[in-house]
Amino acid sequence: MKRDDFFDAILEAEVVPELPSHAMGRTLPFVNAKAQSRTSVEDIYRLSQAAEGPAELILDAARAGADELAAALRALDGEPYRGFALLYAAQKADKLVAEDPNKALALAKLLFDEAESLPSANSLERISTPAPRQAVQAEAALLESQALLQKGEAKGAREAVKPARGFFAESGDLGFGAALCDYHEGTAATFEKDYPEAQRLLKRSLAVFSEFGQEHLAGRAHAGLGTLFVQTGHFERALEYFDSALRAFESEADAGSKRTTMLLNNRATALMRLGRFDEARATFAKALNFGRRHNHAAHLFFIRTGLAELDFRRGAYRRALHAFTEIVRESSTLASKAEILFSRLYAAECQARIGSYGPMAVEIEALRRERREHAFAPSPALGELFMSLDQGTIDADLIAHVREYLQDEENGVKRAYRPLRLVG
Amino acid sequence: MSRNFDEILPDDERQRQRSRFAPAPLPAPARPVWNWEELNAKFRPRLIAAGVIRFGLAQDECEDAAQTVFLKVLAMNPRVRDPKAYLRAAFLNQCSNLIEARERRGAGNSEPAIVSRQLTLADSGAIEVPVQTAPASDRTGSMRAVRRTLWDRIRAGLRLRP
Repeated sequence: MKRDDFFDAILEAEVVPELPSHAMGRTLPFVNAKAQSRTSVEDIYRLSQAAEGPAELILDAARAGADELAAALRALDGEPYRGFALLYAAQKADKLVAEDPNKALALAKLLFDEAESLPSANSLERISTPAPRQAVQAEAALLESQALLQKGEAKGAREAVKPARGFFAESGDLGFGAALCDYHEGTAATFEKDYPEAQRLLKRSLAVFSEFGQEHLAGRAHAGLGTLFVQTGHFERALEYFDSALRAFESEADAGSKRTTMLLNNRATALMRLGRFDEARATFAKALNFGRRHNHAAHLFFIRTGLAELDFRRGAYRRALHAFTEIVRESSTLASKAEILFSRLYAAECQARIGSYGPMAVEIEALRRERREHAFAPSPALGELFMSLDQGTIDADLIAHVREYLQDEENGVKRAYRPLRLVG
Repeated sequence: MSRNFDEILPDDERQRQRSRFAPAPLPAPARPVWNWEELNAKFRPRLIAAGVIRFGLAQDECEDAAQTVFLKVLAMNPRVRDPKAYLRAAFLNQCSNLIEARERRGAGNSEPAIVSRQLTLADSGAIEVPVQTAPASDRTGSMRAVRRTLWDRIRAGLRLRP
């Protein structure tokens, strides 16, 4: 937060300072017509409070279905708080994004269209319009971006932020809306593996959230940067950001949110990659307990995958094999094709390391059958793996070599594949 | 006992049975409730005073700026957990914008310290009167002197919190 001791001393004074007479400007000694025409902040506050309940009803209706949502939106017609209700519904819908991104996406589009009939921001006046069209449309665009990212469409998620920037600017944004755009675009850029731009955007959002004193949002930006640094292999830096995020979340209402579960999971992953296995296990356990206590069932899949990898890295191959085999068998809808592929590779490597070559070959054959289903289909690494299986020269080291190459590719590290025989 | 609670139970009993077997509802993440009375009645006048005293802006400008940042924070209500911090930062930005605008205007004015202000009366048309205001730039020596004087007055006249 920018320091200004002089300014802050006045804000903290026990009594409001008497103003110098010249400061009154045109307002004295005559009637201040402008001040009288200014809408009372108190009235606008009451409108905003009246909109809280209807905004929640919109979210409930979005969960229930299209007809219910249409009815909830029509129920707002003619209400003075309609703009605030649409605005708040868009801002509160991040819960819906996690529950059902398709419904969140549909809601975003409807809110955007509904906002067309709201008054525009009066950019020529010195005082802005409460809940103008542009503010609602900016928030609807951000909601669309979040929903697309949740569906795995990182490119679309970034594209959706662009109009949000324009709408925020038109609405007379004071910098906070732009920071929200930076945060969401930065998060999407991380998933798109555009790491330099993601880092720039997330750091810029962090600076503004901190300046505006919103620790919970600064915590999210810290968490986003931590995730970015895990993906780029900078685990020590990632830990610093995760720890800052945890401190922010612990003191805020996010302490019980799904974000905290994922944050703990990502922190444990960073510890594991640094070889700090005991700390990693303790943090995974904390994430698991936290996720169970708060009913974050959807996130338990990722924690189980992390724990399986931890067993693998510790050399507990039988335990790891059991865990990875379960993950593949369940083929959770939360798991991407790439995650299933890596689970199969880990399982095959475990089999090889404990000398079970028959089951290992079964896993690799399954990979060959599924090859066309994922983005690694044309990879020469998989080509060498399958050729070695046919030639009977496959072993645990080759599987590890292929897995590490594909994991780099998944994290956006571009390097040419060198067949193991040439490397050795 | 039947597990089909919709079968024969009266409504109240049905609800009770459902609630026994339904997962316990999780409390929604608590969003701190704003102390609106304090924000509006105590913090807003202080923001306006700080804008006038710290930056030499006119009270009318500061009232507009305060109005704008209050509307902005209300528009971000579900996102903002610390409204005072938000208002402070947003108001500082507004003041900074006003000062920049004044400096831009002042660049083409040979006498920036005297600004001709237009008074508005409800039914009497416009009256032009010169109103003495603080200099536009806080980089000037005279502005520093004004600030020092004001600061001394604040220190002497007000009981500041430790």
